Amino acid sequence: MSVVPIIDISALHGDDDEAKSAVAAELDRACREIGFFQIENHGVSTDVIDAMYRTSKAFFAQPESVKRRVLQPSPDTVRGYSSLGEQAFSYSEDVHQPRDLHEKFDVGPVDFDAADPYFSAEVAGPHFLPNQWPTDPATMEQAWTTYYRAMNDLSRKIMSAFARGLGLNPNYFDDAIDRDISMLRAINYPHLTDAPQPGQMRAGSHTDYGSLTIVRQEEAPGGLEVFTKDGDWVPVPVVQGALVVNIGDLMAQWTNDRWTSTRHRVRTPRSDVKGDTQRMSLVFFHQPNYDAMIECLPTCVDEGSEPKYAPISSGDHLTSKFAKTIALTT
Amino acid sequence: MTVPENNAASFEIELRRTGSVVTVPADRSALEVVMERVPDAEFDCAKGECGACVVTVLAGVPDHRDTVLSDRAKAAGKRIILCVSRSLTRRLVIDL
Repeated sequence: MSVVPIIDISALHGDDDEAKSAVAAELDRACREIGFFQIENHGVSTDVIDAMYRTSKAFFAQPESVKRRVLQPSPDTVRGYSSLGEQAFSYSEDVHQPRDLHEKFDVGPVDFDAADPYFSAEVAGPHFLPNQWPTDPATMEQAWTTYYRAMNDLSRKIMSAFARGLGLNPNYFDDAIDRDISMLRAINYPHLTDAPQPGQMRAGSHTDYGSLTIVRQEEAPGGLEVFTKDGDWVPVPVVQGALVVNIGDLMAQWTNDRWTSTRHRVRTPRSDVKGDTQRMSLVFFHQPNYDAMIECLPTCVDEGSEPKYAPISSGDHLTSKFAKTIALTT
Repeated sequence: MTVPENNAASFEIELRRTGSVVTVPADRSALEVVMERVPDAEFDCAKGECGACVVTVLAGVPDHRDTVLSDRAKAAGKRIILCVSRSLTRRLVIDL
């Protein structure tokens, strides 16, 4: 069995507390060991996923000049398109390695009252900036908005199960994630015409920032790998119909490192792979409200011990991580 | 590639699959030396942070200097991050 377990989360959609607790215990086990799991019966309809998939594929298939009409305006405004090599995920500044091979499109929150000062750039910083929707394909805004909402609902269910798994009230996280600053990203790994150089990755080794990440993997050559606690790179197989979930640095910090934010990467296809190696991933980065304080959970510190980390707001935690990535690209 | 100043003396690495033994002098990293024999060995950050250059240790005791292996993996001593780590034994045997 893979170190990344496959967990049936049907119970999270129902009212059976005992069944929910059983799922929560499985999540807790997975998060302690590897911080990655795959979920089956996640409740997101195939139609929603397929529509998101089709429209994103159509977007990336357009000429670069068309995609650049919705170009991300600056490194700290993560809205819109950015192309191959404009972002470094890993450590490319030493020029040992070519840049990661991908292009991406990002959106932020889709449901908020722009008239409320809480969401204004003056108060909220970069977290509720308006999205940039392309005119082509015309379905983009609707498909992405629907998918964003579906991922957010699912994230809230998982966060509630996380609370149970951590021995907290199932509603524990509710107030911290009701105005979340999550982001939805499609990452397109183009077909490779040249053989990759040794060690060159589609996405270099990194951990995620936030509370949790939900990934829809595509069955295609070159895939996701996780770095286990035994020190091995292990592939995460594509399971038909399942979504891959992992926790990020913020969740590890919140749990005082009871849970682990595991390093992962996306490998380039081996040079003997024939045919089209194009691959697209849909990634939802769940991130609590910008003003939610990430302070050691009460069940995650032993009596008489001090938490490892000082409290920090979710927004500051995220922007400090952005700053690091940006610094690497300059 | 920078090498920490507190490196112990040189040590040997036996590349079991390649069938050779190399010497890592005090002023060079194990990765640099290994790559002379295995030019396509994977690596990335060269700072002990990313895990790309991890290899299996078949014999000997690694002196872990990386920040990427878990405490469990370090205690087990069966993996080494070649770009920064050294050896506590005169020879390390690795699966490369």
